[in-house]
Amino acid sequence: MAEVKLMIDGRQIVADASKTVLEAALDNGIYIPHLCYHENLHPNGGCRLCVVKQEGVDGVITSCSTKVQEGMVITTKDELAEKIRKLSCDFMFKTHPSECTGCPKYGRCLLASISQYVGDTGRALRELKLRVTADETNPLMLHEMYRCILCGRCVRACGELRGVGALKFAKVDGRMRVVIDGDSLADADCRFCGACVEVCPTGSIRDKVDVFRDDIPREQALIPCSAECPAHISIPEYIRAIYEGDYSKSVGIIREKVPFPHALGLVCNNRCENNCKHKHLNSSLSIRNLKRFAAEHDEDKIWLDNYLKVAPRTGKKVAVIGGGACGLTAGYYLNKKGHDVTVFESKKIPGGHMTSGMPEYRIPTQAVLDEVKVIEDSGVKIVCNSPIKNAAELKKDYDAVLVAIGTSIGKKLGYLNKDNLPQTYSALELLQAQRLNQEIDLGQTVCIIGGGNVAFDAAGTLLRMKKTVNVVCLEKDASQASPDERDTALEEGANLFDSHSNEAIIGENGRVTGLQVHKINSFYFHPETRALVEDAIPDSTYIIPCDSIVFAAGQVTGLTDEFGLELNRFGYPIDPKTGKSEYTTSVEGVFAAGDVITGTRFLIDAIAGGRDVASLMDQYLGGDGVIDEQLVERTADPFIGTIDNFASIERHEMDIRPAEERKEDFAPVSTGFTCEQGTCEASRCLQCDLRLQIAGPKFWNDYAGAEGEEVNA
Amino acid sequence: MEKLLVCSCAANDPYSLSSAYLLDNELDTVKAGVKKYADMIGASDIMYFLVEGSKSYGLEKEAFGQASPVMDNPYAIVQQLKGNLPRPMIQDDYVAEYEGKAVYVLTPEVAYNLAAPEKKKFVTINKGDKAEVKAVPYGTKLSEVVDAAGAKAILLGGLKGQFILPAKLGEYTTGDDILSGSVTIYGPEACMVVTTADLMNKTWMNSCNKCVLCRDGTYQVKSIMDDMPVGKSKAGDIDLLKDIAPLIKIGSYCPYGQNWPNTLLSALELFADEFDAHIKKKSCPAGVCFQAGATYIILPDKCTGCGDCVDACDYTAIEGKKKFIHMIDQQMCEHCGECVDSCDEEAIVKWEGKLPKLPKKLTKVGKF
Repeated sequence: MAEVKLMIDGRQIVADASKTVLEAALDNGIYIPHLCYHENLHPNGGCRLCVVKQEGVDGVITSCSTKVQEGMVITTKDELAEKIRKLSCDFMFKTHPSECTGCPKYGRCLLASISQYVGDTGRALRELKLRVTADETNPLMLHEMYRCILCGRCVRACGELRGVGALKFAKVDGRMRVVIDGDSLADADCRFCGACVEVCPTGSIRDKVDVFRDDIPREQALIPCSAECPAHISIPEYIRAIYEGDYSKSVGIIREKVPFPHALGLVCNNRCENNCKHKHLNSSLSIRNLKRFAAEHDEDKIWLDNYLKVAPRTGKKVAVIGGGACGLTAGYYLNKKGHDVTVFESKKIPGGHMTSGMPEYRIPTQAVLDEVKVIEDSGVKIVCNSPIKNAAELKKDYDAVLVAIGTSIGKKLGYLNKDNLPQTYSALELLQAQRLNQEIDLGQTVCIIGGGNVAFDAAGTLLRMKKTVNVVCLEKDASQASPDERDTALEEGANLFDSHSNEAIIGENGRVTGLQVHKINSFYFHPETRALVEDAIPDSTYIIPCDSIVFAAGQVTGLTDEFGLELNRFGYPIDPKTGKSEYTTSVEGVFAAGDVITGTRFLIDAIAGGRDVASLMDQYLGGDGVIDEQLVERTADPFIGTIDNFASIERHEMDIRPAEERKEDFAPVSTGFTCEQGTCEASRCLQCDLRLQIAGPKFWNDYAGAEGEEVNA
Repeated sequence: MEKLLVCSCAANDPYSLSSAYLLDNELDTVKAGVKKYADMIGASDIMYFLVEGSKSYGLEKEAFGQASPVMDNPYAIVQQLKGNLPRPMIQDDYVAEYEGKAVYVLTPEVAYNLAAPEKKKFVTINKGDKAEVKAVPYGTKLSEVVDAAGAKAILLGGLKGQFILPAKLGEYTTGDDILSGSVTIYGPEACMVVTTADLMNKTWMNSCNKCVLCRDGTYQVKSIMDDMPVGKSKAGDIDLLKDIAPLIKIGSYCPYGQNWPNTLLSALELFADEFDAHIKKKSCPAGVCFQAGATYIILPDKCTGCGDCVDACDYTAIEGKKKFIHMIDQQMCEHCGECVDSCDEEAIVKWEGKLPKLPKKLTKVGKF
């Protein structure tokens, strides 16, 4: 567009002809007070604060709705204009509560800031207290419209920007008021996007307390799902792509942060769902299942070309010990940054817990290997069947080494097995044997000792191996496990011996024949010694007959000093500088990440750790440490429109195969969302990220040339 | 973009009936004018916007909604068509859009004058309860249209007009302007303070409330004016009105806000003595205010502080305690007279004219 020249306050300004006088002034650091104007909204002209003098024009002009013209001469600090601004301020403060310090918006209120700039005349005008009470009945948003000065930003944001129109003006007792276009926001088909909150200059429409965290930066807190995700996946963006039917784009967005979308879609513990804003309406989005849905419907892989692009080679060599999620993630990013990466995996296939520490029916091996293949295709070398004995030794051949071996040794409670009977396994040994087709002598009946999720993973696996399964645990109702996983295994036929304490593994002729137990009323672990303290039921000892024992009693690193790194007493590498387990270790250039420093956590934590350590190692190797990438283009249309009964659309759950059917094979328990379920579930997203598109509040002292003190003086 | 021409029959203020008159009496000419204008601007569609509750005129496309002085603005019409309050939009390059069409507006009077052989003004004449519309050729002196003999004041142009003295009527002629649209005649019995207060209440009611200066300006002005006929005004109120009205006039967003202050300012100028009398002397030269039992007072020298009147008052308008001189809160008094009968001392009386000195706070009996 053409440019025009004009004078504002004696300064020659060149502005695009599409700009208004107000925009041209603000762009050049000349502050004109304005309240109803918002850069993302259509001008309104209602607040009368932006009036300025134009030479040759009687009275004043409205700068927010007047386009710049060649040769205009504008005076913003004209006496008449300033009188009008003061009057407007006077008027607004006759309806707005005069006590500011009690207002939650105190210190961030645009009206207060402007009145400070414009000044007060002290006219003896009539007070008008708005007889409207606070409305806390709606989820997420709080209306205290007795603070409203009717700038109309919320109504425009809801109508023009979002295409929703849940807020509107109505005249009540002769005065305009912002009202909900219905009995409630939900009734008005509000999309709960928060645009109204974002643009409200006063404390009239606010987020309810406790919706967003206040211990992290606001732009993160506004998107609770991404904030809670350890890898900060841009969740609203990938859900939007699903809603648009572009599953490949969705996967691309996920892959910008994690190399295992499908694996995460199957087994992530979905902390992202904990603070999902939708839970204030009914329940959180089914984020993990949507991720699986996208991964399983990504046919085009539009992200692949960008994903395989790598930086020019740096000539630096990196060894990664452990081909699990953490090591492979770090390997991918280090290779991407130009370093030559070799991953050493002790087992016969890569994938770590994903391929050998969890049941096949929860995370199919092929799904994981497909995702590992992409990492290999990008240039990462993976060497299997190659356990590394000593990391410090390995470092001699490499510029940097990453230890990402996880916690791959299952604990066995030796005191129960005094006779050292052989048919006792850790859950990891069982799972690994099943998944890697290794021999394991189980007999027919198996007692699982432990009541956490791993115990039920073992139970499900054993049931599919046609074993009789007894889960023996201290906790009443196996309350350590997630109810879903517990019930899934019980449905499939596992027997639960809850509130049971183990005494000894009984054997005969070198074989396990039973587990001696007694019943308890309650138990706890001593806070200092961590020793088990139980309230046993007298004379309740008996033997559960069985042929083998599986311990689901936690995992350890299995590291010893032979590994060449300084370890703490539990076998975790430490950095001697801090004495704690960190990304750095006792050997310079040897790094550690994932479960091996954090203890057993979840897949997403391992991946996030892999990202972080890759960035750190890249810097160690002379790079900038920036591993963020954009794989796919995206646009987010702020005009979201309405969806009938939006607030009451229920969360979708995946259809689960009947227990009778699913226990017969190792295929996934659920076949995942149908397209209809996936699209509908995606439509529930409140699209919290759209709020970041809206320009935040700018105060007069944010503008370079604002000279408020002079005006007030 | 295609164009939609809306003939707005809802832009009259309460003082003008021209749109309804033209629909009832000159419909064919109006329709011809609308058609002519639609052809001129190339509008593909025509719509008539009628005031809610009015009858249908069998026009091809009719919409109904509330009357408002801003309903000559295309955006205000679009807002109403979309179920919102009418609010105008005035902006460079701005197109009011409805169902994908750019909206243009004209009034029935403009339409009539496009099609009629002779340009006419449809002047509404208001006198007391009566209102009539006269079709008068452009350029006619208003003194020839209206007989203002014996009148005290004339309001030209309704809410957006101004007050004049009857002698000046001949200086105004019919034309395109606002002023000749309606002539409202006030006789010698009218109190100009009450008249202005009524007018300001109508002005407030008719504000679209979009911009601060008109929304809160009309509220402030009507509230200040409401205080005058009941003796609650403050000393600086006239100055306050004269201070803010010119700023509202210059600073308001649309022609409504830019014009209504003229009625107030002209009343204050032409009838300054009447306003002064109300505020300073609490008296009404026209004998309308402070009259006819409007004020009950408790005579401070007769009140014994017994409290009987407090019990008698259903409106809790009497303040007092034992042995203190009781006082009537004039804002709360509903003039029922119950207190007069309840007082054995005959201390409560109806008062006319300037009030005597009364206690402003609780004072012991005998100490005033």
